[in-house]
Amino acid sequence: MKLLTANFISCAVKACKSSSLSFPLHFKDAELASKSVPYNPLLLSNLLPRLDWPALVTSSKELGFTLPDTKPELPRLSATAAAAATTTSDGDMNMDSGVGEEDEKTLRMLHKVLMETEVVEGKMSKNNL
Amino acid sequence: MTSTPALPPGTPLKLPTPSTSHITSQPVYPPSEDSYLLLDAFSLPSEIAFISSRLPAGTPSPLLVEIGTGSGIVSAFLAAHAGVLFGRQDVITMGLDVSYTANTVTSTTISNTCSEHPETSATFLDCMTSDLTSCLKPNCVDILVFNPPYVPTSEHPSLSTLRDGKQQKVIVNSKSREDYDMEDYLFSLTYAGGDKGMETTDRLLDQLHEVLSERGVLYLLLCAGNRPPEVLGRVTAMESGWKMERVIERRAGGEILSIWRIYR
Repeated sequence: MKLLTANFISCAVKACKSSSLSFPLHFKDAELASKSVPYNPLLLSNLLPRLDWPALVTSSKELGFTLPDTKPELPRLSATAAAAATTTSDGDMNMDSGVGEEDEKTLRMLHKVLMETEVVEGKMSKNNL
Repeated sequence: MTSTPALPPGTPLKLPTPSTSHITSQPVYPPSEDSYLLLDAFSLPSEIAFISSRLPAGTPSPLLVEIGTGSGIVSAFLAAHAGVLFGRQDVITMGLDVSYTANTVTSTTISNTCSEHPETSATFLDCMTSDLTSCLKPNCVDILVFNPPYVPTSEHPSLSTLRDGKQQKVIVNSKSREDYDMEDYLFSLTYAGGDKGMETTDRLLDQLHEVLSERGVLYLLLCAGNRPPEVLGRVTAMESGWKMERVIERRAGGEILSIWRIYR
């Protein structure tokens, strides 16, 4: 399971849905693998608004990644930039979007944590005891 | 907005159909007339225009979820051709099925198909074992696809067999009596819809307001035995102004199948 997926799932028991404990679920005994995924800055920049950042920080910490406490602010990559994007043979997107060096670092970090980190074994549970 | 528009004009685009040749003897619903009707529904130029206007490029990345993926052919098609069908590739997709075997097979179908179409494919996240969308947090799905167990049957198989606390295993090349029984049971789950074939679909409609995002759309397959006019009456009577419109209809063998879009 990708770390990004954990940002969308909660306890499946209906009676739990309204409880604050139902989300995020907590990883236990997680075994990680890194999977190479094409870098897609447009996706990351359009995903950011819909991420629950505090939950992502919690999940990441459980897997050994440290994210900033507050959601990074990134310039929204424009449709023009997206249109100018070309796809290379390995599927990476080349963007001439004028993204600054700092933003680029943030995007690369998000890419690694959200897209390329896979929990291949482990448990997810409601409480963090 | 009329509730039962005439069939949209135009012919579906001809996009490559995903291969499911890696499925050998796993007990999953094989690609069938209903699966192909879903592919055609999403390939109609009018439907492509509808989705692009609901989820325009530049808005937050849409989450696409299919319930009951079976072989994975529908999810694989939508994920691999997202750039064409939705006008954007920054779409994330998940597959949900009560069968762990179906989820395993679907992951392969989607990954294989997406890797064949890197220039149009969305980002596939995961397949998860779930009853309907119970594992998702509320109101996060933007495109929901459901080809339900729609056949009217006198009995509706209970999910309790899967909820006995034991972890499911992948069923393939069954040899034991226990595995054969599980195969029969899993196949019954793929089609048996109980009363009017609507027992599972009704459960989803009951919770739809908690599943879809504000901009979300459900694509639902119905057969004539489900009595679509009754379903339409029910959906349009639900709170907060739901619309239900027919996207495509086709006679397939002894059945008349139709795909409907349901949204606020």
